[in-house]
Amino acid sequence: MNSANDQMLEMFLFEMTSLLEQLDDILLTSEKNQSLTEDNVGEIFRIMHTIKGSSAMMDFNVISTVTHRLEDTFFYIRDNGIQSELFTELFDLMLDATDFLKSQLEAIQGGNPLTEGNDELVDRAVNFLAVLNGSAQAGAPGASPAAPAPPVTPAAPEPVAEGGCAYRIEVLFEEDCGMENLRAFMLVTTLKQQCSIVSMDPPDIESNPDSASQIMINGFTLVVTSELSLEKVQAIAEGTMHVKHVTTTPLDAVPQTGDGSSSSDISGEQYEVQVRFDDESGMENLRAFMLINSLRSNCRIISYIPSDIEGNPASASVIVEQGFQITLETPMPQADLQRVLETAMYVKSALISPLTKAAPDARKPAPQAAAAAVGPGAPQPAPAAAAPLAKAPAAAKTPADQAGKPIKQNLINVSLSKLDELMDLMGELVITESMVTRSPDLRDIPKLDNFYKAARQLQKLTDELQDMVMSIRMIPVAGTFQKMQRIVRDMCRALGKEADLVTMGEETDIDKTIIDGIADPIMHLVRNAMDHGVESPEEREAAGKPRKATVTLCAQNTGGEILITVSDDGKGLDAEKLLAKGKLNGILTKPAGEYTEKEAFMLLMMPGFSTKDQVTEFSGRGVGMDVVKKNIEKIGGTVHIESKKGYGMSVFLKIPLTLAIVDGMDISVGGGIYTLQITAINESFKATQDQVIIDTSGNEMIMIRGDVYPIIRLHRLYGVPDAITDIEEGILIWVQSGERSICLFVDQLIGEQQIVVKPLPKYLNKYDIKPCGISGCTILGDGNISLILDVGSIIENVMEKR
Amino acid sequence: MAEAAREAVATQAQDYVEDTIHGKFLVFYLDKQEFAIPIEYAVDIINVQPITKVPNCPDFVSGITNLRGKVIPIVDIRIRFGKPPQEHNDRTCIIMIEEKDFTVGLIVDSVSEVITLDDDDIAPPPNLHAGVEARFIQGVGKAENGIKLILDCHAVLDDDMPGADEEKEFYSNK
Repeated sequence: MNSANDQMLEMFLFEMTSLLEQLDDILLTSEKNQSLTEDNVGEIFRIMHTIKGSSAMMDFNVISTVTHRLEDTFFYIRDNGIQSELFTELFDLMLDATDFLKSQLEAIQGGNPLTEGNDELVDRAVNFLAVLNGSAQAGAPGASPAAPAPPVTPAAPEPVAEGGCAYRIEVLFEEDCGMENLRAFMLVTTLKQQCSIVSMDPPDIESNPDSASQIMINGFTLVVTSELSLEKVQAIAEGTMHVKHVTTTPLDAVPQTGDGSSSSDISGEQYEVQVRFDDESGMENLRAFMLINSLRSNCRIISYIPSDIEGNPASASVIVEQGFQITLETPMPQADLQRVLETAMYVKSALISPLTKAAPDARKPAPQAAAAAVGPGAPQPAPAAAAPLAKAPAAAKTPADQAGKPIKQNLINVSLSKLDELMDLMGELVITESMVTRSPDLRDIPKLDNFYKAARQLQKLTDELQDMVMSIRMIPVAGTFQKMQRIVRDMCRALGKEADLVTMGEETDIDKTIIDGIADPIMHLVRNAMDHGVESPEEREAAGKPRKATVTLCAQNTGGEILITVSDDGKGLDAEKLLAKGKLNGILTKPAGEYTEKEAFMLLMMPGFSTKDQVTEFSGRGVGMDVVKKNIEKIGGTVHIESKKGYGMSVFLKIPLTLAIVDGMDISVGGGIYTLQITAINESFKATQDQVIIDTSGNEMIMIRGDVYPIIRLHRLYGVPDAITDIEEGILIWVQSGERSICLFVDQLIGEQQIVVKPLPKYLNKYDIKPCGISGCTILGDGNISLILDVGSIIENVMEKR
Repeated sequence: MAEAAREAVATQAQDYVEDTIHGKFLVFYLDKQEFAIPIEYAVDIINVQPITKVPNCPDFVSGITNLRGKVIPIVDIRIRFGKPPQEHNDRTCIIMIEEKDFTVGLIVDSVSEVITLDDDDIAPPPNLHAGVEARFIQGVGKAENGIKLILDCHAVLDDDMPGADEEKEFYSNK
């Protein structure tokens, strides 16, 4: 039971996250264009509605209350539009709301209790709706701000001029809402503003309390005439509180058919659809709910069975056993409908059978208007439908195939821990393979042609497998980049600057673990660019630049590495200012005059260095750049800065494609074996005694092509006994990390090998092993362990000591 | 119904396992002295295999070794107890013990037997001398063939003990 719950929660979180991302995206683009298309309003409304539904199902009431209010707001906007003056307020409200929702999701993820309630946000939404109401119907008698959910505009009910279409509206209320007659009355009041009521059944809702039970059993039926389109009438009815289900059907027999445009809005063929979900999908009721929601955009849902999917988790098992049955009406051709259904997530199969126009009444679920001449029909598909049912799949398959493969259906969600495990296993396999093919036992066997042939084949396959496993873990950086749009927007408003964020290469794939590792650094860099780099519009104009600055985020795959660039066209770096500041902070290690421009830029990444004089909300605490550098180095990457004063600056992040498997060079010192990342090695060479320079404090150095580099004896650094101490017998390896290089003195090179990086055991964490230059370990082909050297921290370690 | 029944069976089985290992101790030698550890800690006993030394660790951490693809840290219990180091021979063993969420190997002179001790046979450790060794002792077991010192595995592996700070300082100064 517990695990089923967990699974549900996981699914909930996953769906929430993607919906919120989608929402953010819509909001930001809409804000940028300063327009809100009907599609977008509809989409936001749908997202809010879905979140409300699923969070209520999961018992996250805070989330559902907030989204409910927002849903109301958008419901209103959808019907009545919104003045562009109100955009700013609306977007602020919505973005704050998404922030709040995200914080709640994080709380759920972290297992923390949710916020008790967010009255502030709810009040804002309600007030905003009131403002909307007020401005839309200026002069209407005081729109009360307390007016809750539905757009109950308390304008005087003026009957719509005769004309328009007639509709029959059948309404079912939620089972336990109580006082059905009162609810029905409220619905009537709401409708009266837009429609004129022709008749109601039961007619005496106001005076007769018994009508409540009648409505409970039979539903509430209304005949109205209105100029509004069918959807709008339907939407008004659906927007009323406690309404569970609304069926609106146009009545043809209206004498004053107006322009006749409305009734044909959504009409067309009626179909009955039998949907089966994937066996393992779980939470079938939620899936069904989401399916219904997505269908609403282009179909009119007449009914579905089981009908209580939203409120009753037990309906999931009913769906598993009997499938989910929808009766709907859509102008789409059947093939399109089939495709829409089949591309919906987790849908295994969908059987569509066309209904004749007359049929739906017979098929409607039991609680229907008593006025309906046909008695309540069985909810199961009538046997008469069997023939078209059988035909449907065959007919539907072909167009689906022609229309190209459905995208969503081919995706599966896998937990990251499983992928990590797969990666570990892959690593073991690579090690074991080299254990077999390089086994010392093989040396004694003279003829092994077939063995080596098979071994080569095996090697090829494991290589391919490894590439495949790695590619599974790759995801595009687009998600990370998208979040930056929001940051740029927020900062523009807070700092009074104008800037555009241009992203390039969002489709570049990077290992999931690395993506997680670069999100924060990129955010820091974008903030820095906005805060320190980009000038105010006035300054920019004075400098002859366009008012609007451009911040560019670019990712590209350069073979073994990913290059991520964050650049701006702001004021750039001033090397002299940097040096002056560095002097003030006392972090210069040599006279300021000796610093090259490049070295001066590197000062930015020293801990505690900040060029900005005052601390702002966003940056300036001087923790930014050194944290960026640390985080990037943690995932094996490097940072470097380029800038031209007055023309902006660029930060380049070089990041490895993956963390787990790297090309290494095995070296030996004393009895022990160490591994260096190939990428860190510049070259290796033998040195003679007279090439070595020794300074006054006994430090050894060597000159390579005109530059002097310190020599670090690994055996001395790690206190290894029995190592070669004669500089002419061992070998020097010139290694580099970022801008700094040293030469390591080791006994000998053993060979190049692909290694699987493993962390050191947790038990050793307390002994500060990483700072002394060992970042992890790996298991060698012979089963021994080699320690992986991290050139960056060796250099840091040595520099500290000097 | 069925679930409840299955759960009941599972609990019973677990109780059974706990019963069978409760009060059992793995006995090993260090010099002439016999030590015992509760058997639920010991997950494996292996012969000494190549150990890779790790820099910056205290002396009693011999290094790391590869146990079937897992990297396991090794603690030399002789040095941990302040005894002089000894050459490994064919009787030297590594006992893999599992503490909290990590596994650590302990190098011991040799493993002798598994014994059962009633709770009544275990006396609290004497509080007289607070030597290095004494703070690792959780109790004194009185078996038929002699006295066994029962190790507190937690204390052996955990550094956060009185006196541990000086020890750490000592090692980092070295």
